[in-house]
Amino acid sequence: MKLFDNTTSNRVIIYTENLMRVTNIKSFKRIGNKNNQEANTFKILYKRPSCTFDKVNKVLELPDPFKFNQKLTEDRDDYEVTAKLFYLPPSSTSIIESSTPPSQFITQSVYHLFKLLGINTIDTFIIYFNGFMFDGSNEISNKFNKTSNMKNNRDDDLNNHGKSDIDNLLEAWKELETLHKKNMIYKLGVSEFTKNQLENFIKAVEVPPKIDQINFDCCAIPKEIIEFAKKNNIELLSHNDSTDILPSTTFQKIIDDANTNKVRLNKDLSPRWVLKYSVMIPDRGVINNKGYIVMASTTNSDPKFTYTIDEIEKNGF
Amino acid sequence: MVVTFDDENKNAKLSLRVFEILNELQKEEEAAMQNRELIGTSWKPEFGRYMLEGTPGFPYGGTLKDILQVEPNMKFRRQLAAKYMKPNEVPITIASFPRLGCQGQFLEPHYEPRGEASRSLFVPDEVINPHARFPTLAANIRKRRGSKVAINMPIFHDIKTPKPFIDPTIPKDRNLFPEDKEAAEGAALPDHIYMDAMVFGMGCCCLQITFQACNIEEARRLYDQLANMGPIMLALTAAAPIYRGYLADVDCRWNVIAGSVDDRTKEERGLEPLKNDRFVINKSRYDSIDCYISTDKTLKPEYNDLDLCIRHVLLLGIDELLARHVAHLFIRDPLVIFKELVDQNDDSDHFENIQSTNWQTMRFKPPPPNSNIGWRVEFRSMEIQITDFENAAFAVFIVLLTRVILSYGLNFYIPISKVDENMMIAHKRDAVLNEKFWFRKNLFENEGNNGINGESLNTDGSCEEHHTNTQPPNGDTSTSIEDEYEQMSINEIINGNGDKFPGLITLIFRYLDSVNIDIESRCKLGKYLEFVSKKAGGKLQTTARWIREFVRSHPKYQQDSVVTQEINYDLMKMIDKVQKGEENAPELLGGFGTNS
Repeated sequence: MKLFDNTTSNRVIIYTENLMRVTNIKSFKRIGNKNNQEANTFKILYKRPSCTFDKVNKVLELPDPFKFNQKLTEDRDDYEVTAKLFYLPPSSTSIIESSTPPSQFITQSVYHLFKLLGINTIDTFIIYFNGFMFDGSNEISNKFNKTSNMKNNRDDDLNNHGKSDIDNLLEAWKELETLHKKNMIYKLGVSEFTKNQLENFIKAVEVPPKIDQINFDCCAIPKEIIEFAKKNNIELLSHNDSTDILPSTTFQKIIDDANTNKVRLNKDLSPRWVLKYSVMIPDRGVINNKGYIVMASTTNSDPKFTYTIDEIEKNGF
Repeated sequence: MVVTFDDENKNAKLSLRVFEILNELQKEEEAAMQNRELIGTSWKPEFGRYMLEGTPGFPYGGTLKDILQVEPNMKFRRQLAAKYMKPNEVPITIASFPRLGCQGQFLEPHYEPRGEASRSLFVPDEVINPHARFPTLAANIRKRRGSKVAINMPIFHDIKTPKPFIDPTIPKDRNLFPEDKEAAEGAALPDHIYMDAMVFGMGCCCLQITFQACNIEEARRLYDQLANMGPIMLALTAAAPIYRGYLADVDCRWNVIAGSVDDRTKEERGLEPLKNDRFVINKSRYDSIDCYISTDKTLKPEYNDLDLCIRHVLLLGIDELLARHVAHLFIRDPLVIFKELVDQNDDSDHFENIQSTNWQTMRFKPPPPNSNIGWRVEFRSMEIQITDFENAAFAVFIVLLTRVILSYGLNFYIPISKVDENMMIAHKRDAVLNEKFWFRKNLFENEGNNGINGESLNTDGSCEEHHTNTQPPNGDTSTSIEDEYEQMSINEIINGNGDKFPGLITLIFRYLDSVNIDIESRCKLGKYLEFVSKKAGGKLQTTARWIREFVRSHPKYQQDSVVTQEINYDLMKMIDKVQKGEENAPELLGGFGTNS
């Protein structure tokens, strides 16, 4: 294929293949104590070099999502689509404010998932705000100290106040609520929230989360949060996602692999979010599709871009 | 099995009253059906008159929450069964009753072994369920074979066990039936435990699971992929180390059952040249499967490396693989036919007749005509465990494994002759600890990864037939068949081997990480999987090992492989108490299941 100079693209979307089809023994290699699946995951996609430029949203897609057919083939009702958006920690060169997760990431991630799978609804959308970690307490502030990339120390102080933690998230949540009201997302969820955080959050939002996804010893969850969740109709789900879902070394490998495959990318790209999605056939307990979508942008790309919902509705898929 | 305790004489016997108990249970079931209530559990008679077969009233759903209903349902069955029992009777789930066929009293009520149907030296006909089908089965097997069945299990040579071991409890001088002399004439092997009746095998208990598949392709796929799990799970669930009051050198019941219904004549067994019979048949009609049947491209013809003898059967509209499978089932004569049902055209009775008297590690079950029931696959090798937690744990393990197989498109294929070898290995004493099994090295070698081109049905787990875009072959199809598999221990297979092999438990945990599961369910499932993992790793004893240790450390045990009436009584009492949670069995359960 011809050499495609994409170094001018300052916003890139990267898709993986369906991991249920390309998982292999190597995916289970352990590095240290950690499962190395994610790193191997992103390596896989570059067996199929291709790319396409989405003119409407001015974003480069790797590979072309229509080239390898991942669209769901049966009745939409037979499937359960779950998506989880990870806001990545801002890099030191980011001009995006570290404390406010950009809400437009949400619609952007939804758009690309719709495009990939050929759907226009998501059953469950969980949002993970970087830094949160359930620690078995009911605390208001439970952010673990991953401040190595945080530029603004004054923001740190603010972040340690319970209320501000939640405040920063409300804008992002409003975007989710909009999509929910448009019947594009059925259930909204948060991740790693403690009981008190849930309590505060519910009071502050219009559409409450139906799910809190926690990575903790399932048999040792404190009963306060279990009771609170039951009373408030919140499902406590378990997960095993690493908080460092896309280590910088992995991302660098993606860029390098792309270059090797004649898709030259801008050196200044930094990953902003990762969307983990899975498609299940719930009646049979069979996982049909699982993968990741990564968005990376350069420092000089417009931080306040928008994907309008109208575009999704118009474009169909 | 229902065991009755005679505390005064310290004797634990099999209760033949089960026939009446079953009646009561089935009456309840019918009444519920009349009232259009959902029946929680369903009961069937089995070969032994002391046996109860319990199944869920309706199939479990396919979600993870549904899987967690297995243990409560099993507990419920036990409670329900106990409802109709006398105060000194208990339902016990063990694979084989240690003193079936011993001298003395092992049945309640007692009968002498003088039955016409079995003609056994050890067990009366009254031990058989009186429903016409069962004694007829036993008699017809004997008649067709031309002699009594001869089951010989190697005895466990303990310190004081005589060498050679010649069983003094075999009545050598009885002359009631012509078959009585068979034992002395060589049917009873030295250094073996000799059994001469169908009940010794078909009177054993087991854990069977039937899976609904979404279509015939999925059913065939599951049948094949689970085939090699048969011997693995047999070794893991091993629970039958005692027969006719002697400690055996095997831990599993399978070969006993194979021998107990072996209706092959001497010619068919290859002992005499073929004159009256058509061909030599390699196996008893109860044994492991002989061929793979899936249409997946991953099924290489080299995997079906057993000589299948088939009767030529005209089967229209199905492919050759499946035709051969059915034709192979039909090499067997029917064992029981009801006169009124001989002539029929549209019913599937004749097929069911042959299908149900081919007892194999897997059973491929087509939908019965005129019903909504779809294609199903039955996994049949597991031995029953003492407690409901253990049985549920193994059931859940296999169910989750099928979900993983279908989700990832796993490939378990090895030549089927190697699966047979695994069955032999699984019987060995403490196979979980000491033996290695043939197992495929790379479970992920499926169409997607292997670059096998062409139509691939349903590789994305969906049920529709459609074409998927597969990659062009990457030229990597040149590994020889021998390189695809190697010998692994149960621990490696289940728990993994570093970077070389992930282990089935790891795959299941990865699957659970990829689905939406609530913490409570995740906790429970985690406990089942942890339990299976510990069994595989040898941190918990198999039931067979635990039973063996109990006997050998019993104060009255004479180190001569003999399980006396008193030892058996204490063993049954212990099992009952462990099941009820009244006694601890840390080496067996490790604290699992005590909270549920």
